[in-house]
Amino acid sequence: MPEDTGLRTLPSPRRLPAWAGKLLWPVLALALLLAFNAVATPNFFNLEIRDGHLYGSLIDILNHGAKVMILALGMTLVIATGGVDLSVGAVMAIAGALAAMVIHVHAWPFAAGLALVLGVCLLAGAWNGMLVAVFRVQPIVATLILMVAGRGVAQLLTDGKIITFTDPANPALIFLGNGHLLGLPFPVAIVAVMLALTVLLTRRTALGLFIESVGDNETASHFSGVQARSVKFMVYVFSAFCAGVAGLIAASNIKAADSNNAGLYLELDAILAVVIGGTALTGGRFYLVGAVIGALLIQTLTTTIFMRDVSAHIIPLPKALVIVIVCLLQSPAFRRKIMAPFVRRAA
Amino acid sequence: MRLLPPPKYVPLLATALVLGGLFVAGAFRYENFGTLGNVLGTIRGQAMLGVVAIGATFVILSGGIDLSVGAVVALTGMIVAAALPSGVQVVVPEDNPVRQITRDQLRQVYAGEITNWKQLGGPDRAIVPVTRELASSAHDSFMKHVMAGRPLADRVQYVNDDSEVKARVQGEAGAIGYVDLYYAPRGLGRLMIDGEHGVQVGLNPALAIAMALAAGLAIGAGMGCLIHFFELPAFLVTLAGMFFARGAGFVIHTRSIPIKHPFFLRTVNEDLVIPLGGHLEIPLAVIVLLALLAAALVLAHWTRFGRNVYAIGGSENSARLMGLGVGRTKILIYTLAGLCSAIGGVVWTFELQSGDPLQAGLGMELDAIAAVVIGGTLLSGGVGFVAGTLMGVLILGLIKAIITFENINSWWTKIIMGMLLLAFILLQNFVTKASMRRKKT
Repeated sequence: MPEDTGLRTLPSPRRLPAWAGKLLWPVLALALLLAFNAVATPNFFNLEIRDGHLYGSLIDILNHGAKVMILALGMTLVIATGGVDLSVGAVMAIAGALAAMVIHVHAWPFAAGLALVLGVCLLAGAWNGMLVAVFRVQPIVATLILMVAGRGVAQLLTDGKIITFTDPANPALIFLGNGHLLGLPFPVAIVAVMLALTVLLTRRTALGLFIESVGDNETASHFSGVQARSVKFMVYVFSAFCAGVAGLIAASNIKAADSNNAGLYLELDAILAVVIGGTALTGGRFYLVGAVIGALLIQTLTTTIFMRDVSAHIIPLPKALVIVIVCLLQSPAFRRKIMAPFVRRAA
Repeated sequence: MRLLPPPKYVPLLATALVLGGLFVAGAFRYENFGTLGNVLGTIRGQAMLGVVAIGATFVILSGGIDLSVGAVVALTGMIVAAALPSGVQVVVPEDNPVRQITRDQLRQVYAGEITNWKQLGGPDRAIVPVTRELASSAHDSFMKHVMAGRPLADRVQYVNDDSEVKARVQGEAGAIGYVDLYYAPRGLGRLMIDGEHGVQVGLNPALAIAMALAAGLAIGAGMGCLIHFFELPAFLVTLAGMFFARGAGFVIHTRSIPIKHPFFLRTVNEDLVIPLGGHLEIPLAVIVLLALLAAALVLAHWTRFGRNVYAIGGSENSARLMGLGVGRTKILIYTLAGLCSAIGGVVWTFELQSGDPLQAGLGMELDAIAAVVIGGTLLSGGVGFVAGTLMGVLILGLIKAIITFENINSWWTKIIMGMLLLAFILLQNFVTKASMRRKKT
């Protein structure tokens, strides 16, 4: 048989769009994990209706995964521009602390308090965006500053105390993380709306294209007339906005603002979700739905471990293995060196 | 005429000025701030961070980042604490002539098969076995290493701690009991078990520390290999390393393990220190920091490895084209960082006499990066000094000390640290741009 006629290297017609190929691995991993639970965890797929609301492990996964899913939306766009936002956990803490202070302690109307909280989060994002876009500080460092200082600011707001708001004087604030809409937990509805809006904004307008082009090659984008600086500025503002929403949900969930622990290490989960979803840390193409599935995968893994009566503290260990496996599968070098015999040669 | 020193020294100079300024301001404002005791205390408080930050300096000099350091500190501290000997000593009233039994005999006593001291070569007296409470570490250890799965006899009496064991054994002529390996059994007779002082398992301190250091090396080398061979981003690989090490620490034990070994309680604090006269002494943690600093200075400025690190940080492609061993150097850098973190974990056991899977090294990865940046190392790599990192670590220590002296809330530490980081990063940007402009003209 002749070694290589060269014919096989011709591009073959693709049946699937690029995003479908990228979604394959995370969806497969999620399906595998769910299949494992179907066999090994009794009652995992049980759903029951109580007071008109759905309850069950699957609903729990959606509900508890909401925060990371929302963070992952903003993080996807930031990573698509070649950056990263380490400050989301600290911004969550600020949002929770501020909400508890103005809505609970100072009894502002909910709408006014919400506007103030989200406004402050936008400011925090603008701060990050300014450092990255205007002062050209590397994103890791720029957002590191707010990550370190932000938690201090949150503690300053609450005077270092944990502020609880269990009394029903704040129905709206408590509804945010504990209410239900159409039988589903309210955070799930927030995720659905934010995902739909983000996809629409980036895929039905040129915004998504601009973001991908800045991530691919900032200089070239600049010379083609894309306002690279504004694009970068905006993604950090959007990421902080997402962090603010997630922070409100986190505080509402536990009916308390805990500046020390709110959103701690969630920036890492969000980054992990984005990478599992197929967006490369180097920027360029981004996959919002993939990131949401990545967040679901992380939450399913966590819930699975919880339900197997293993100490919750061990959860980081399987997470580490997932990160390494996902990264290896996506690494061109790994495919070249190890997987070569098993992978059909790409066109 | 040049008013400024060469640009690469400007951040270092700024760091030195901030360090000196903070110290002088503190010394003028507060009594006792400028004393040798306070200075030593500040350095001691920062020794662990210093050790870790020295490793992080090499990583950042090469243009990489290491997020795993805090978790590796926790894991290696746990390894030391868990590997040290643990177990029980078996005690009887002082007037009991029996001084030696075998482990099998001990098991038979507690299983209810041997019931009289006569059977063990003693006087004709009924044996009254006493055990520690359920779920105590002494009880768990006794059940595992002595009883080997057999249940205790019904007539075994339960008491709640070592001093109750002592009281019960002293008040009952035929009693036998066991206490923690490190409990001082004054006023009691101690039985030799198979010729040893009690029933114990574990390694001596040197081996335990060596094991922890080997674990740190292995984790660092593993991360380095993933980064080099598969071209994965350092950010993600060390993030995975952080999760891995935190989880592994909890696998060893879910709570903190106290260290009671005399080497850590006495030798480390009394013998392995440099006395300075009066009540002052240089503690072992600071000696370790200074020794590591000296080694790191030599490594960074007088070896081929050090020059490779700077070259890779300047431009990895150029370094590769020059024929430098980029891959080997990168793996070595992360291995070195892993080793430094492990040394940090060992220093933690020196200072806190415990291994703690949750609190040890919490947030240290960011403190280390902050110290390196404040110490004048460019986060983009290629420019910086190990000595600067030590100054950065000391600046963080002085800020903490000043906040303690001012008696204001500790969260100001975070805010001030953030502002300092910002100031230094903007200074770096300014210096980089200035030097680029100078090169162009």
